[in-house]
Amino acid sequence: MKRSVFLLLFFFVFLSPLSRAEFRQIDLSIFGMD
Amino acid sequence: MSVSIKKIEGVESVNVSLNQGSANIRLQPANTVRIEQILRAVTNNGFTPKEAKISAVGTVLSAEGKLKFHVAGTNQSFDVLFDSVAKDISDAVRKEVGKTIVVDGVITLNKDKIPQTVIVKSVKQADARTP
Repeated sequence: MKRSVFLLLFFFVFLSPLSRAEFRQIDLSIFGMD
Repeated sequence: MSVSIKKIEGVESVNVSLNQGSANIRLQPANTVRIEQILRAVTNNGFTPKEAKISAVGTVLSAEGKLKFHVAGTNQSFDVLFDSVAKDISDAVRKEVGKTIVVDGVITLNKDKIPQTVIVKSVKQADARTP
């Protein structure tokens, strides 16, 4: 029981935020045509 | 180029301005877009990417005294650098080591056009998605 609670907490506290890690916005500077 | 970038899964919107030499790309939540995919789309259309201002959720990690910014959704890591005058930012980032945060910064490309470092401009908590 305790182990299940620990695993659940571990998932929500640590793994969930990491799995959301992502780029949100990219503003790219570009040169003209080669 | 706009069409090519929009085709990448996870891209929400693209706004290309050839006059200003810029492409503004917004990404969907929980996307797994790697910055190389964007760069490839740009080069495949005959343009040359320079630096990229980014906003990204990730984790700052410390190894052997060096900071790295890890974007888990893309499994990408970047060396963390600061502007020479950004002592406050440097301290703020060091406080967040191991936590998931939002970083606004500039990703620079090395001589082979590979994204390698992020110059951190600001950091904030990752609990809310800002527009």
